[in-house]
Amino acid sequence: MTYVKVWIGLVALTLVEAGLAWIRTAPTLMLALLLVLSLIKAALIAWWFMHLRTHRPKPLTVLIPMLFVFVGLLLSLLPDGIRAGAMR
Amino acid sequence: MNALKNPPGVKTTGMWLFVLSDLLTFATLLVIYTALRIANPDWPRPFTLSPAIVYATIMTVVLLASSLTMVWAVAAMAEDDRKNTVKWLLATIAGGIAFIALHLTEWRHLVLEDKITASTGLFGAVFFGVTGLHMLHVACGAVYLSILTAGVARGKFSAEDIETGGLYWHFVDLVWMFIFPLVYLMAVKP
Amino acid sequence: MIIFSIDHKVIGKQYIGLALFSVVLGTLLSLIMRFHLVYPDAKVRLFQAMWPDGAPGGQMTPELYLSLMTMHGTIMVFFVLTTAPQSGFGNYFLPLQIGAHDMAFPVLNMLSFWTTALSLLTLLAAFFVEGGAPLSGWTAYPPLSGLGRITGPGEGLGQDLWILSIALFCVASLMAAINFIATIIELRAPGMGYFDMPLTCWGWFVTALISLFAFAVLLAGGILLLLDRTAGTSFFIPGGLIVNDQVQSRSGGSPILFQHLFWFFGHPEVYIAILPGMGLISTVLSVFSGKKVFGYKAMAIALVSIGGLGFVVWGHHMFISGMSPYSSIAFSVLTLAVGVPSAVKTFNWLATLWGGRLRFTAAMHYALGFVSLFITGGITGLVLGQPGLDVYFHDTYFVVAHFHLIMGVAAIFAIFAAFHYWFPLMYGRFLNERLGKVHFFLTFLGVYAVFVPLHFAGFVGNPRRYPDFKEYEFLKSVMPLHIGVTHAAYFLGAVQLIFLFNYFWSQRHGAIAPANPWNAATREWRND
Repeated sequence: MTYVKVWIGLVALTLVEAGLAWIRTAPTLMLALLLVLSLIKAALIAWWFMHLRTHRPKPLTVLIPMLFVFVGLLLSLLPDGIRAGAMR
Repeated sequence: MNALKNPPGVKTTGMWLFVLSDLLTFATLLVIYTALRIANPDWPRPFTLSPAIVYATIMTVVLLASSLTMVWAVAAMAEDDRKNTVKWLLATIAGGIAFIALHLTEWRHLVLEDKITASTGLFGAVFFGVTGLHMLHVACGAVYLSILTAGVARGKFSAEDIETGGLYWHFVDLVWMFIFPLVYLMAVKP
Repeated sequence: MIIFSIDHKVIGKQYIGLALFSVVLGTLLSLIMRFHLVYPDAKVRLFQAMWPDGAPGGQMTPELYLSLMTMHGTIMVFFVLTTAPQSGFGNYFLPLQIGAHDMAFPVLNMLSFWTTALSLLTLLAAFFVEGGAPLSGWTAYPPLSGLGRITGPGEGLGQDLWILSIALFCVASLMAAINFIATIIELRAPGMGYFDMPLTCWGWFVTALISLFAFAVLLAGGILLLLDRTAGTSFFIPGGLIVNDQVQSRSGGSPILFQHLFWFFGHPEVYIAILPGMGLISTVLSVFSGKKVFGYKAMAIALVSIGGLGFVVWGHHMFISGMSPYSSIAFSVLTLAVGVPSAVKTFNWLATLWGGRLRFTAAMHYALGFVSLFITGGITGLVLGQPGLDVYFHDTYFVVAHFHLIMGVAAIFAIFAAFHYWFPLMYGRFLNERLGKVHFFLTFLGVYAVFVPLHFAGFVGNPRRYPDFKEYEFLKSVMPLHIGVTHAAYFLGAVQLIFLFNYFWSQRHGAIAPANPWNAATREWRND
């Protein structure tokens, strides 16, 4: 039954996200909220559906943070995006 | 060939490694999307709330529902209940196919009605590139689960095999949780 | 089922065979390039026979030269330096060294080899399609690589095949990486902790972790580049581009983004080539010094930190690309920081030798040669890591000399050492020691004769990727140097025949090896 509750939560969060678009939230605020909500949803899926809660292969404690580091590194591409926009 | 077999958990570890790697591929695509969008302040935002966003929300719910049935399939297999495993696996595959069908209808609408294709500008390029790669993953997942279903019905495969398949399916779902807001919701008509 | 075998030893040998084929091909291509640089006007009937379009009347076109360069780089980096030390020797010896019965996923292992083979065939097919092989180097920067046939003869189908080949290689490497990591994490012998593994296993482990993430990013870049070429998108194509007097209609993309993605993969790739070698050299030095590796734990941690730092220094390939100068400073500092773990390794290798009872076998010769090349090539890395100097050196032969020494030749020396060290286990016989030593000294001499002068060509500002120097007044002074380098390259190429002869002859006629001939302590030599 827990799975159904998690699923209902996921659907509810999806509707909240769509609702943010519905009420035309300002883009920057909306992006921030959407990212937070998406991370929560991803965490719910990983924690419950992918069984991170009960079965956690040992390397994941190191590798999952590593993934975040890599994504953070990739974000260093964004300043060049800004400069490319300025050069247009 | 090898008399010795792997201890339990090795397949799960392998699938998790794949998931992490593929997550980085998708993350890269989304970062490129962000960088291009910053560089192009006149980024188009063509989606209407209805039908486009309503449609995409339904697709999201369908994909989430297929994740739920997948969880039940894994749980059934853990109790060696092959009959129910097959049932829930079939439901999951149906969900995946429904998602693809809805998605293709939406693509068709974009191309024919809104005249947006991959080559009509960066919005189309990102949209079809990212969702196309995701759809490829869903399609591969449907094939993968079909092989598992056929095997389970004939008494092959262990609980860990189904668990591994489930990991893949949930990962595809997890990726969509980022594509839906970033590609769809952030492109709603102002 | 010897062909589609799922036995890790067979797959390892298949990888080594693939790498040997590739290295012969890559070397021949480089010799043709060296010939052309010195005799740019020569008309060679053989060239015309092989490339009717690229060498009309036997006179090589600049485009053909560039395509040879592209193929040389791609073949060497991907199919030699990435496959042989990691997938070849790693597949064969990792399970033996950690006491596993096989790799974790034998079928995946087989698939990964055959995907690699398919990838190589796809790449080689580029030679035979209309327009020939691509011109854009192993880095494949857009817009040159993104626009199709209009940018050059090889940029049509040839470049498509190139990207497809690299995408396949990404997939194969991901499969291999998953296999290596899962094997090391899950299948170590009972009681063997991470810090009980031989340093070779640490090298393969860190390399696999790097592959897992680096190839994921390259795959994304490759997919987008392929879309740019085939679906008419413009991820990497800027607006208002004029190619061959034609304005291109696409706009909005940024070529710099591809460079970022490429080097996010590309710099870790350099470490994918060298880290397995570092691990192996540690083992060989310790066995033939009759001592334990000095500072085992520091060595393992240094491998991990080199691997980690490898991901945060990619910007030093882009100092002249128009990257933000503030990023340049950060990338420069981080790049110089790689010197710290590298120095830890070098000094620990020297300390391993210190006071040991050295046995100068052929494998030991190559290991010592590796240390020498590693220092020579590494020092110039510190030079190039500084933006001020790199701006001058970046497009010169200085960089060519630097990366050939450290990434190419040093890694190849580690492969030679591995052959001599493990041949008894692989074939039950020794590689001929005397031939090995002769080959070592001639090769050692040859590589320094080829690559040291190229540094000086770099000082003069000799640009790389130019097919013909005779048009440039300021390069007149370096032509004698290039003639010397070309002849040294012929010599170096010829000398490799000694190794090939030794390798094939010794498989059947080498001296029979006893169990554990080197008195090594690692598990693969145990008879159980």
